[in-house]
Amino acid sequence: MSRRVVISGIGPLCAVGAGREYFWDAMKSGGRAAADSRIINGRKVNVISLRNFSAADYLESRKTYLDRTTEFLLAAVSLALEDADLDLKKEDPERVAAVTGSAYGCLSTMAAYFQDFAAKGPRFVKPILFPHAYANTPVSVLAIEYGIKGFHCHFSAGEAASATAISYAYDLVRDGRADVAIAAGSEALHDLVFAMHPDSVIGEGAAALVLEDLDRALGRGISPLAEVLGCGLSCCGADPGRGMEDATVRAMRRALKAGLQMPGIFLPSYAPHSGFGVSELSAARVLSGGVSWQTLVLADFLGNTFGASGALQATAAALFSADTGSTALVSSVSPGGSVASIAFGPLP
Amino acid sequence: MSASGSVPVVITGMGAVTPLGDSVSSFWDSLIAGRYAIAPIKRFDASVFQFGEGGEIPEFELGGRAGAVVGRDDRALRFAAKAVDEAWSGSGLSNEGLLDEVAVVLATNFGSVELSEAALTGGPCSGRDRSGLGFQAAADAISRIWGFGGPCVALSLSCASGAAAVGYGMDLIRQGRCRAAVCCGYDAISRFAWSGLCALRTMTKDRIRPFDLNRDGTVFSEGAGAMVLEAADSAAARGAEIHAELLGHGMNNNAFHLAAPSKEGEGLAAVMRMALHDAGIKAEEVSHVNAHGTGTKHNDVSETLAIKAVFGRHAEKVAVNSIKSCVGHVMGAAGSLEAIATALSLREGLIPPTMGLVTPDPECDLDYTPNAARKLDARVALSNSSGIGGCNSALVLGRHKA
Repeated sequence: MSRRVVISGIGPLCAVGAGREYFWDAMKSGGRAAADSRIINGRKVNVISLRNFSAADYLESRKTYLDRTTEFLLAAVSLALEDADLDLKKEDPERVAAVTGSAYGCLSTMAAYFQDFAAKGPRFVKPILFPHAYANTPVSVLAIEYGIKGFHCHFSAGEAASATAISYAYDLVRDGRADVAIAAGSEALHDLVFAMHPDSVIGEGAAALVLEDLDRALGRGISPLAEVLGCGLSCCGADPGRGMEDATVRAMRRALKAGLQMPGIFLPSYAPHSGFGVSELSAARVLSGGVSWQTLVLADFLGNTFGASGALQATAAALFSADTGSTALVSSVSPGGSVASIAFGPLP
Repeated sequence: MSASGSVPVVITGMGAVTPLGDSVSSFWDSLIAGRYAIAPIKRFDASVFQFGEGGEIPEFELGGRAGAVVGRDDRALRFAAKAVDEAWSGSGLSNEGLLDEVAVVLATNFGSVELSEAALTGGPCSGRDRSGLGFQAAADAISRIWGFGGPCVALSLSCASGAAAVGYGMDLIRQGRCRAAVCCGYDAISRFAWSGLCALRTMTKDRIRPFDLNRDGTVFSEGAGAMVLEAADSAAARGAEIHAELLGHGMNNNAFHLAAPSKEGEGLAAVMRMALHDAGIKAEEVSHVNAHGTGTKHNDVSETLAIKAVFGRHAEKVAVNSIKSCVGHVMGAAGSLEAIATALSLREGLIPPTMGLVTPDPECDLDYTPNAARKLDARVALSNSSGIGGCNSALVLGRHKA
């Protein structure tokens, strides 16, 4: 059984705004979020943070404690479900999947726990912090919050984490193993992340997408945003230098599949002048036969949002595909050489 | 044929690094003999903790390409690399020119967090000190060492991680995203992890006694378990040795509580049904369940109820066991090591014992293979895993018909 998979709702949460309208306005106008400069370990980092974010605006009940990465995820999913006009209480919970990605997970809580441990000793640490420090805590809290009992997975795959999550969610719905899949990525800033990426522009945020079978979405009376045409995963193997372009070509070719629908817009992870951006651009030229694709680099707007980047790219891709009537191709690359690529197409 | 109606998947390589032995054969021999891996922790001062015993792995030399790449201080990755090395070498795939079609799936609870303890406490630290904070770097390292060019992914589902890695690797093959997958669950005991595990209050100062009336907790260990999965037709075409077949899997969440299992085990029952449906197998075809069996009061009762809910009267005929009774709870590696043990049970016709089970619990009244290994001509087996956050994973394995 192979179903057509569509995006029936999106929930972007980032520095240019929360929700479809603000996000789309920023994409069309080229509006960039303001960055603050910070000095971490003597190196300058430009930080684009979510200002004035309050999880309480998105949650039905007050929580004792949540890591900020978890808060972002819950907020993004809340937006996506509203956008999809989907009430999960009316769904069979075992047929709803939750698949998420994050590069660093609940790093703030892990650091808070460990600093507590270092300061007070093991007998006086706050026990509530430890279960909130796991990488899978955000997706587990999501499942508890919404009663999601179907397929459940979390990818800690660096910058390719949420694109990898979307690809698995796509497979689950396509193969009939889930009726609805919530695929998302979230990432919250922390000084440790800044310290690992000096001289960079670092962002935070989240995005959630609701994936459904086309017939089911139409049967609910909604108009899906775009279709997921395919996904590809690869990595550069033994040689990150020479192999990056080849890995990106392989992933993108698998996403576009038979028919090789040339994208109207390409959304790479990195700016064209950067190391990985050069590989992504080269890969695009290989596939296009030298023809230039319109390119949108979200990192220019939002900074590097790490594990949230793929989901934010996918959100933008779905919107552009719907708006232009053309295919949109996402390339999500992690610095170690893993690539996840997703192709979106308009619905007739 | 499985519910997804797709490519059959088989196991052609296995690797293990455990406190019971640093190879699959030594691990298996120790399980069958009922040896106990748990001893006082030596690597750091455990006297400050409430619980001070666990399953540690002594230092070892990591040779070959992995030894040149993986630092001596990155113990977690050393475990993974050694297990992958055994599994990959044993698969015979290295000569087949398939590297671009080989995926890597690594799964862990804590990754190389030991490297980053200095960073986490806010002290001065280097880039290397921070390198353990993301899990993908380890998966990338494994890909680079062996030159794998297929999907390269790190995932984390707490103590269901190892089984989830096997399930996801299976799906990558079935979906045509690769022809083979190296799947490895791994974790190392560190001060950070140990402090948190103590805070969860799930450990025992006694020995771990799954399903025993007087059980009062689990014990944690470190290690890695790796499997090479392959499309069945590819394995058959090259005449590979096939250890067992992977028939199906499931992953879900209890949607109940972050740290406690649901009392009736509904979530675990649901994931077992999910896996059986995926495998196209009826419950009464299963002869053996390798249980999650942590030895805590709650888990063992809820898991017993879950098995009964899935198998009905047939549950009385199923040989259940918990290898955690010997090797301890190996955290992110538990599910993958238990999958290896289940594959070997099918291949060898032998079930490792549940050790320490001396006083039956009326609430745990199934056959748990107490205290001695047993011959069993099983055709189909199931392996369960659960973790913090309410995650569950189940694998269905079948004996290979040569």
